[in-house]
Amino acid sequence: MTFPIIPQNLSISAMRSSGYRDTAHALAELIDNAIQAGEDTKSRTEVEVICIDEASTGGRHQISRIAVYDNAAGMSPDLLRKALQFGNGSRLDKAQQKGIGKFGMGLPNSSISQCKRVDVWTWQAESVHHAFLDVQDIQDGKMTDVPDPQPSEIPSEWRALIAGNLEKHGTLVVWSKLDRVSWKQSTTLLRHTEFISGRVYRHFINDKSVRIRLAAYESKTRETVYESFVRPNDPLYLMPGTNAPAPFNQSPAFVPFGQPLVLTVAHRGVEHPVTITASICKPEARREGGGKEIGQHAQKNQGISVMRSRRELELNHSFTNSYDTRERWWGIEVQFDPGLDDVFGVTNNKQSATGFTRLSVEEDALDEALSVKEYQERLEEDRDPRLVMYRISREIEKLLKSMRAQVAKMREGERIHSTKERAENKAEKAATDSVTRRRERVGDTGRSDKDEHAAPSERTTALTADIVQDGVEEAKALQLAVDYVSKKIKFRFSHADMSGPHIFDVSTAGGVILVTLNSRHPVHGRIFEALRGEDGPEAQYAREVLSLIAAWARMEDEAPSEKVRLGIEDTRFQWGRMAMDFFEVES
Amino acid sequence: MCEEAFLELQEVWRQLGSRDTTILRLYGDHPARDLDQLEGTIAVIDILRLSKDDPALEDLGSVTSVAILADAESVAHPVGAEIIRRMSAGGAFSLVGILAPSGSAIPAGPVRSALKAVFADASITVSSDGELQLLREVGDFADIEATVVHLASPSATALTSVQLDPICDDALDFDPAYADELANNVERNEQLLAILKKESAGKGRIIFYATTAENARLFAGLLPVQGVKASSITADDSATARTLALQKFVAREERVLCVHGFLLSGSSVPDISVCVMASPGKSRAAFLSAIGRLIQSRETALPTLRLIVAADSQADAGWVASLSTWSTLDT
Repeated sequence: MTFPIIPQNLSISAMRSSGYRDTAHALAELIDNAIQAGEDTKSRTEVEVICIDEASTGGRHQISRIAVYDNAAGMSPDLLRKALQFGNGSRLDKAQQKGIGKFGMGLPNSSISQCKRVDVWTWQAESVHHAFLDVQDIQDGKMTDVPDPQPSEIPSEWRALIAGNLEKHGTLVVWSKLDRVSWKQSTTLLRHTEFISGRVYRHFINDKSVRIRLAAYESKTRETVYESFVRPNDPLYLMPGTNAPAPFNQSPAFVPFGQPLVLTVAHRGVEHPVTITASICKPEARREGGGKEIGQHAQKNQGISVMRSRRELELNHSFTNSYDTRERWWGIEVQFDPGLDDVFGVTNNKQSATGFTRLSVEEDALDEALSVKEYQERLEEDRDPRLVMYRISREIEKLLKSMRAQVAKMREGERIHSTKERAENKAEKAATDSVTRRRERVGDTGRSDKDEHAAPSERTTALTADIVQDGVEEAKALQLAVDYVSKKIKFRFSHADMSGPHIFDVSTAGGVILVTLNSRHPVHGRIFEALRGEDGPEAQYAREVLSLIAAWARMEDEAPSEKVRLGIEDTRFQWGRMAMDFFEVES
Repeated sequence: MCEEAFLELQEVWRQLGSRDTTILRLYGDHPARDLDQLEGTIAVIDILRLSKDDPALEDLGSVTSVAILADAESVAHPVGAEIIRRMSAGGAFSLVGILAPSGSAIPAGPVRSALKAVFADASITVSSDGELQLLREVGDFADIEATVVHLASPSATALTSVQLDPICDDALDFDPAYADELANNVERNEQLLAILKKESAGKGRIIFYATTAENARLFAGLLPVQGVKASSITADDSATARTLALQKFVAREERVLCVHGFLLSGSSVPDISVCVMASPGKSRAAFLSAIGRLIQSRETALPTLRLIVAADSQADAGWVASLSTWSTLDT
C-alpha cells in the first residue's frame, strides 16, 4: 500500500481550481501560447476560438466543445508532451520568459479548469501529432503519464470550421466534457471573450500582429451561431477602430494626457523601463454622460491597466475612488517588462499583478511609527521591492490629481455654461436673502462686506478670475461675474478637486463669499454630487445642506478677529477629517 | 430571390410560432407540384416556371387570395400580364407588386403606364433633398458609381434590340442558353478577367457576379493564376455551406469573390469596393436587389461602391448609369 503525500485524485481536483476568473480568462492562456509561439514566425498570428453547440436534454443549446486554433510555430512531439505536463513547458527557463508566456503552466491548468478532457493536435512541416489529458482517467489512476504524442491528422470536423488558411505549422487545442465553463451559451461566452481578449491583447490586435476570430456553430447542421473578429478594447480610448460604441469606435473618445512617462527602475542590478501612459476624455465624450453607451463602456474599463510585455494582466482598482462616478473618464496604462515580475508580483496564471497597488510612503511610515526618511532608509537597506511601487504610485497619484481636477472642471464649466439654472443658484439666492435679513439686524459685520463698496469693475474682475478656475471661458465668466455683482448675490458655490480633508473651503472675491465644495471628499459623493444631476428629492436635500454650509461660511466671514477666523477654519479642517471616517467607503 | 423569400417567410412563421403553415418551394431543383393543389399554403414560385398557356393557372387563381410579384414590372410584360389575366379568370385575388428601382429609373412609356394603371395610387414619392438626407443619416443610403462596359459578345450584338427589349421579348428572362453562350465566350471572359485583375490592384474586395455557376468556379480558378486570391460561392452550395465559405473568404483575405445565383449581403463581407455584374437577367428588381444587398449597412467610412455592369448581361443597361445620379425616388 502506498501513501502519497498528495493523493493524485485530490491534487487534480485542487489543480482544477487554480484561480482562473472565468472561461474567457482561461481561454486567454491558450491565446497567450499562440501569440508567444507566433513570435517565432514571420507572419501574423491567427487565432480562432470555435465553439460547438449541442441541444441539451432540456432542448436549449449549450456549448459542448471549444477549440482554439492557431497558425503559429506548432510544437515538436517532445515539446507537446512537456506542454501537457503541469508546471513544465518551454518557458520555465528565466531566459525564455521574455515574451508574454510565463512558467509553461498555461495549457493543462487553464484547460482542466474548464473541462475534463483536452486534446492537442500540433503540426510542424505538415507533420501532425496528437496527445491528450483526461481528468477522469487521472482521477482513476489510469493516466499517470502524459501519453506519448502519436502521428495523426487534423480532424476533418475542425478543418472544415477553421476559416483561416491551414498552414504547415500550427496547433489545435480542443476542450471537451466541459463541466466548469462560466457561461453555457456560446454567444455569451464569446461576447465576454471578445471584450476581455480585445482588451488583454489590444496592442497586438491594433498593430495587426495578431488576429482573433470567434465563432460558434450548431453541432449537426453546422449553422453559424456566432461569428466575429475581435476588435481592440482600449481602456485608454486612444485607439481608432475599437469596440467602443459609435462614433467613438472610429474617433477615439479620449486624448493623451501629456507624454508617456518613462521611469527607469533598477531591480537586481538591472535597469528596466516602466512606462506610464495617461489619457483623459474629450469634452464630447463626457457630454454624453455616464448613462449613455460610451459611459457604460468606460465604466467596464475603469481602473489602471497593468501591462506586461504589451499583454494586460489586470485592471487595477486600488487607485480609483469607488464612490466617484467620474473615475471612468480617465485612463492609465502601466507597462513593464518581465524582468520586473517579482516587483509587480505577477502570478503564474497571469491573472494579476499582486504587487501593483496604491502605496503611500507617508501613510506606511506613519503606521510603522517612523519618519518618512527613516522608513525609506529601511526599505533601501532591505532592498524592498516595494520601493519601486512607491515611486510608481507617487507618479500615478500626481497624474490622477491633475486629471481628476480637469475632469471635474470639464463638466462644471459646461454646467455653468448651460442656460438652465443650476441647483446651486437657488441655494445662493436663498442664502443671500438670509444674509440680507441678518445684516439688516446686526449690520455689515462680514469681512467680505467691505469689498462690496469697491468699484463694480474691480469686483467683477476679482470674481471672474475665480469663475475661470471652474473651467469657464473668460468671456462667459465675466458675464456671470457681472450677473453676481449686479444682482447682489452674496454667495457662490462651486465644486473642485482639493487636496486635504476639507469638506468645503471658504474664501472671498469682489464682496462675494466663495464656497468651494471638495469633490474628492467622500461627503461630496454622498450629498453634493446630487446637485449636478437632475432636479429631484436628492438635489433638494443637497440644497438644504448648502444652506447649512452657507451659514458656516458666513460665520467664518463674520469672525471678529483673524485669530478667531483661523480657529474656525481649523475646526472645519478637523471636522472634515472626522467626516472622512464616517463617510469613507471601504473599497 | 425565391430562396430569399422562402427563408424570410420561414423565419417570420417561426417567430409567430402559433400557426402551422406549409410553405412550398416551386423553384430551382425543388419538385414540381400541381398548381391546383396549393390551397391553404404559402407557395414561393419562380415565375419563370409558369407557362402562360398552362390551363392550371385558372385553378391556381381560384385558390389564391394574395399574389405577390417580387418584380412589379412583371405585370407590364406580355407574359407576366397573361399569367395574371389567366389566374384572375379563376377567381379574384389581391395583387401586390414590389418595385425595386426608383420610378425615375423607368423611362416614360408602356412600362410606366402599365404600372400606374395596375398599381394606381400605390407609389411612394421621396422627392425632397431633406428626405434623402434623412436616409443618409440613418445609414440607409450609399453612393454608387455605375459604369456600363461593352464586352465582346457576338451573340448579344446579333440579337435585335426588339429581342432585348424587356417588354416586347417573349420570355420574362433570358434563355439559359444565352447565359451559357456568354459564359463560354473566351474573348468576353478574357475581358472580364482583365477588369477583375485591374480592379484588384486597388483597395477593398471585389464581388463578381459571374455569368453562370460554372463560370464563377472557372474565374475562381483562373484569378489565382494571375496572382489574385479568389474563391467562388454559388447557389449550388447549401445556405450553411455558403456561410462557411463566406467566412473563409473574409478570414483568408481573398480579394475577389465570384458568386452566382444568390443574393450576397454586404454585411457578411467587409470593405467591398467594386462589384462587377456579368450575371444575365432582365429584371431590374432582381438586379437592384443584388446591388441593394451589397450596400446594406455599408459603413459610411468606406469609399463609393464602384459598380461595373456588362452591357450584355442586362436587357436594358441604359438605365444602370442613372444609378449614380438618383436624386429623387419618385415614381
